[in-house]
Amino acid sequence: MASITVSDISKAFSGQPILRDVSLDIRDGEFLSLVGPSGCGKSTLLRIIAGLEEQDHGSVEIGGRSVDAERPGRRDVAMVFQSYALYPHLSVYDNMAAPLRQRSLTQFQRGFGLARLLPKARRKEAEFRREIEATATMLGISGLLQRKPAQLSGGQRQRVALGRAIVRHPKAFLMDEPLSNLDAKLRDTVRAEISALHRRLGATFLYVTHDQAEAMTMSDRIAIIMEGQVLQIGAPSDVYHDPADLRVARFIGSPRINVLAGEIDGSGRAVLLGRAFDLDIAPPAHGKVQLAFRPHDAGLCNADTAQLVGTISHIENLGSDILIHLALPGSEEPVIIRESHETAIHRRLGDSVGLKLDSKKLLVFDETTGKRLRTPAQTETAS
Amino acid sequence: MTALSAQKRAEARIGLVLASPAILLLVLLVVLPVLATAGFSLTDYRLGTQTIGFAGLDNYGTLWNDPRFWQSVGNTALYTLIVVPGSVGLGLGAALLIEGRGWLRPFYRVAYFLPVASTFIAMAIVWEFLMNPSVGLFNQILFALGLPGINFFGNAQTALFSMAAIGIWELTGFNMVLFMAGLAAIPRDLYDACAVDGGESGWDRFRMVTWPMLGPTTFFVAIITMIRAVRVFEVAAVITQGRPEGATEVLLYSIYVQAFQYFNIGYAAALIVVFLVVTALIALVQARFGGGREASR
Repeated sequence: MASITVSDISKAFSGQPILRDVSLDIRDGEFLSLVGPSGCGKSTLLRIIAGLEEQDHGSVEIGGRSVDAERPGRRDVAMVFQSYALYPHLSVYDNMAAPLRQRSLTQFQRGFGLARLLPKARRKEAEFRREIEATATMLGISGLLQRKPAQLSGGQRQRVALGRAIVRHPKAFLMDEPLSNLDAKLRDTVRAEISALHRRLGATFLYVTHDQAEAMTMSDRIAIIMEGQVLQIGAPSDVYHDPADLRVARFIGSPRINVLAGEIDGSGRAVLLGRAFDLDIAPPAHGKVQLAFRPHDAGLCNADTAQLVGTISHIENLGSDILIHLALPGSEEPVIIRESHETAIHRRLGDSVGLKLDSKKLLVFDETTGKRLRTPAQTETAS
Repeated sequence: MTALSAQKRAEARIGLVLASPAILLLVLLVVLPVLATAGFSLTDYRLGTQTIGFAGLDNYGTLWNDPRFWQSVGNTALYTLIVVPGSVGLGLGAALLIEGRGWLRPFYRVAYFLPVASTFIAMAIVWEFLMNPSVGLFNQILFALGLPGINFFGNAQTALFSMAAIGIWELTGFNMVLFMAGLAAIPRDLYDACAVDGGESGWDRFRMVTWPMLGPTTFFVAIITMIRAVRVFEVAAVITQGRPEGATEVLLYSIYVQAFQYFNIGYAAALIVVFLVVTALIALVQARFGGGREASR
């Protein structure tokens, strides 16, 4: 178990910057997800921490000790790969034993099968066996130990890859999109299992994913990375309800957040889609802004009394809830509103309805920088 | 059921029609000549004579009792035993080294592959000059170092080994290219996993990842090399003509001599049948065990 500290990491591949001055603190025993679109640098950061890639600038500390000069094998972290990276020629047992043998047997004992019969190596092998069997039982793969990876299903291989990481008792687990190769149903199951595993082991988990739902459901904290920079780090509810950047707001949450371009004057009146109306918030700024709100933070009302009126362009029935897509004149993207089944069941495509905004829940972003402009009330709750 | 099988039969007919040109060529160019050869091996036919008589298994009997046949079998086997491990090992080594080179990779690849692309008869003549006992480059170097020269092809002890050295030179580049293709197919993740698991040295990486993952490639390369080595002919024909004392007499050269110098067509045909059986056996091993390439993930 250990904390991981990443300071000012920069990395470029053939002149193309991938990471720019990234700093992160992963606490001991924490489950932290690195989430972002593909190509944002999150996997590169993970590989730098593992030692598989060398940073151009900055340093990595694991357990309070700088590991910049250490080879991957000496950093004492375990990695789970998207492809699982199991050795295809070895049985499940030998796959799980590989890191143990690699780390605690001598070159001679590892290299020659017969040397494993010597008393010293045999004692170690007996230890390995206990460790592997206990781990296999925990993961529910004890029946598969003699199989080859090719004879396993995707989910089973995934467990073996986890097992190979667990047997070592590493200081931290680094996981690079470990669920991406599983089908959707299995992904949900394994997601819960990995969370349970984290609670059980109490170890530091650093988890890379492009799937915000995975990050939201599993993590203690989420770091959103885009274009090589950490935009925000926080608990799932923080990054969801209190995003610091418009890109974070857009990335986190499904269905996506609604964004409307507008302008605010000094007295708290906003112009949205060419119509002026009272926002009833102390404005954080004046000028051009982006106003965003979650699908459940706004409602629909009668078209006659509303300031913003649109037509229903699409209805998505999720069973428990229904998503209403509202086309607003002047806005390119439709606004999505989440309504309960009872109220939404009577809505029809093409209906003209009003949009009712809750000004307290509006998130205001600077139009050019995309940075959050908090209203005084929001600043209070955030701090 | 009947409709389905009728459709299947029609499909099979169309398949047969489409494959017929290839089947025809195969029969004309491969099957018939092989059968003809097998037929000739049972006769006493000599090129130029008007008569042809059935000889039964006489040719095979002669062959069995001919010390020169056994010598050429022995020479071919020894040549193969040297060339296969030599060129497979060097090919793998060269592939590994070139993989590690950055921008020089294309140059090395071409340089090593050149022997495969060149006319081997011409190359054999160049080698003959290089290995000339008095003016050849190799001996000039030895002389310059104050060492005695080697009579590469004049000495029964060294002739076959000299021939094997040329064989290794010829096949290494080809094997290297095959190994490079095999290396390129190894998932990088496995090396990463090996590194994180504590594999530190190049030997660890080779033992845990490269060698096991190259298993099917190595097998294939070894079989191909073996078939090519058994077919050794050019050096024996151009440089040594089987001399000295039959030390470089190899199977294909014996066939050539029997058929086109002594015109013993029947006897040469028997030799060819033996040769075909040997190569067919090697190919069978490949077909039986080489197909089981394991899924790499």
